[in-house]
Amino acid sequence: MRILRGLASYPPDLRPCVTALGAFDGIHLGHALLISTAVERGRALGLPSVVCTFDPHPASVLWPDRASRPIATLDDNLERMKGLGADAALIIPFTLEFSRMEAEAFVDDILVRTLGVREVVVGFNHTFGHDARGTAALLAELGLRRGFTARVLPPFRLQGQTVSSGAIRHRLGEGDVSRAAELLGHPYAITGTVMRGAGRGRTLGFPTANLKPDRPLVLAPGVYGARASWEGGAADAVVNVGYRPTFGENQYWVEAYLLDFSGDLYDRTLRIEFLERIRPEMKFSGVDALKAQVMADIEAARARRDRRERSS
Amino acid sequence: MIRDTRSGILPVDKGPDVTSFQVVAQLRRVLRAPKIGHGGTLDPAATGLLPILIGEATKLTPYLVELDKEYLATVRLGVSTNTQDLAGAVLESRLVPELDEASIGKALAPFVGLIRQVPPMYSALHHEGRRLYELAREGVEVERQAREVTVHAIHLEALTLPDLVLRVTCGKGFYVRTLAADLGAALGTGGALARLVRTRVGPYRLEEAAPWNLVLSARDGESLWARALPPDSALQAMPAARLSEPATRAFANGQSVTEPGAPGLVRVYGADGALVGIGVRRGALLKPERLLHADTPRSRVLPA
Repeated sequence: MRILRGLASYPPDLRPCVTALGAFDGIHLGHALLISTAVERGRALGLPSVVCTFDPHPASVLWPDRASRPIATLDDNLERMKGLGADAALIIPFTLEFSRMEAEAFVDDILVRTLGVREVVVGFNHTFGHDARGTAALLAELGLRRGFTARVLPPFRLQGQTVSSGAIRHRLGEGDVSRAAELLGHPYAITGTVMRGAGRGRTLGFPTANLKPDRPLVLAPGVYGARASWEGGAADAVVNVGYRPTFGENQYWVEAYLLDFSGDLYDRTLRIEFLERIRPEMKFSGVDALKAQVMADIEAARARRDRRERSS
Repeated sequence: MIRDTRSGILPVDKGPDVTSFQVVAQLRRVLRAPKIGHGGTLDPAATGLLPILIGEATKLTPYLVELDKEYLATVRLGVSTNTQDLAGAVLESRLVPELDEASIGKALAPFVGLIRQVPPMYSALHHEGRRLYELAREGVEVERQAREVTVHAIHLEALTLPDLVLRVTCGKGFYVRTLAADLGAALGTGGALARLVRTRVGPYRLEEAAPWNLVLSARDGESLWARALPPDSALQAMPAARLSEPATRAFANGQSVTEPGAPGLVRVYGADGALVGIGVRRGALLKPERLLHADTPRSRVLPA
C-alpha cells in the first residue's frame, strides 16, 4: 500500500480511483467493511482503491477541549488499511484552514480533480466541509452531477449494537476490553517505550516492564490480561493501567508483568494488546495485600492462557 | 451608456442566497442589455439552472416557463417547518424510523402524474391582490385552491436517512418544497426541503450553464456572451417553418401568410434563416403570434 501525505503528493497513476472516505479512528468493523467495499469496487472496475483520511483526527482540531482521545495511532490505522487490501492511503493534514473549505469545493477540488473519483464509499454519518454541511446526501447529489457514484453504507450493527468509534471508546472507558475488541474486530492496543521504573516490582518479587505510552489512553484504570510483543518476542502479560494509588503517586503509567519471561526489555518498544479485564484498579492496605492480589492476578492470567491454549 | 442590442439566452448556474431578480440585475449591468429577464424563478436558497433571456429573447418568456424542469431535491425527513424548507421555523420534529426504498417508493407514487397540489403560503401567488408570502409573514394563513400540476417522474437517487435525494421532473407551477412537506406527511415523519438544485429547464442543462463565480467576476459581457445560445434554442420542441422572402416581409409586418402544415405553434424563420417569430397555424394560414426583431445595430446614442 502506498502512503501519500498531503494532496500535493497525489500521483496521476492513482487517478481515476475508488475512494473510501472517513476519519477512521481505530478501524473498527464498520470501517473495515467500508474500506473492503472500496477495495472490492476498485477490483470490479479495474481501478485503484484509495483510502482518503485525515491527520490529526478532525475532532481534535475542531474541538481541542472536548475531543475524545483517538483509539489508535495513525500507524496502526495505516497497517490495518493495508491489511484490508487498499492500494493507497491519502492522509490529508487536517488544519483549521482546511476545515473552512466548503463542502462543494472539497468534492470538486479534492475528490473530482485531485483523485478523479469514480466511486466514493462513506458511512451514513460522515460529514465534510465547512460547518459539516457536506452530508452523505450532498455527496450523493453532487455525485449525480459530477459523474461519480456515492455509496453510503448504513450503520454497521453487531448483536443489535451499532458499531461506532464512540461506542468503542465508551466500552474502553468502562474497562470492557473484550467487548471493545469484538466491536473493533481486533484488540485495543497501545505501544510504549520500556522505562526504568522504581524497581519496586522487582523488590516485590515480580519484575515488571514500565511503559511510557505513546499517547493518552482511552482505557479505564485496572488490571488486564494482555498480549505483549516486541521485536523478536512475545509473551502473555498482566498489565496494570492506572495511577498506582497504593504508592500515592499520581502518574498515569502502564506496568506489564510478562508471564514466564525473564530478560531485559529496557528502552525497547512494547506493543500491548488488551484481551480481557481481570479487575478494576484498587488501593491496598499495604504491600503484602498488594503482593497477594498481584499473585492472584498472575495466576488468573496464567489459567486463562492455559485454557485458551487447550481450546485452540 | 452604450447598449448592446444582441439577443440570446444565457443559462446561468445561480449561486445560493441570491434571488433570481438579483441575478437579472447583475447581468443587466454586465451585459448592458436594455431588456433582460429570467425563465422561471428559483428560490433564493436553491441553486442551479436559471435561463436568462436577453434582448428580443425576452419575448419568449411565456414559452420558457412552459418548459419541463428537472430538480435534484434533498428532503430532510423528521422535521416540519412553516416555509417547507430548512430556512423556516421548525413546527414539529420527530424521530425517523428505518425506511427502505420500497416504502419510500410507495409513498412517492401518488405524487407522480397529473396531480393536485396545494401551493405553499410562502409563495409569490396572489390572494385578493396580495402576495401569499406577505400574508404568511403577518401570520395569516388563507385557504388556497389546489392546482393541477404535472409531475413526469420522481426517482429516489439516494437514501441516507434522515435525508432523501430525489430527482424530480415536472411541469410548470410545481413546488418541490411542497412535495417535501407532503411526502413527509405521507410517511408520517414530516419533511422539509433541505437543498434544491435545478438541473434542467427544457433543453438547457446545468452542465452547460455559466458558473455563478464567472457571472460575479465578469468585467464585461464578452465572456458571458460566449456562453449564450440563440433565442430559438428555447423552441427546439416546436415545429419549424421557413418562409420565402416576400412571405418573411409580410409575416414580420404582422400579416398572416400561407404555410400549410399541422395546426399549432410554429417557430418561423425568414428566407435568410433568422428567427422571425412564433406563429400559430390554423389550416394553411400561419398567423404571427410573437415577432422578434433581428439584431440590427442601431445608431448608438451617447450621453451628452
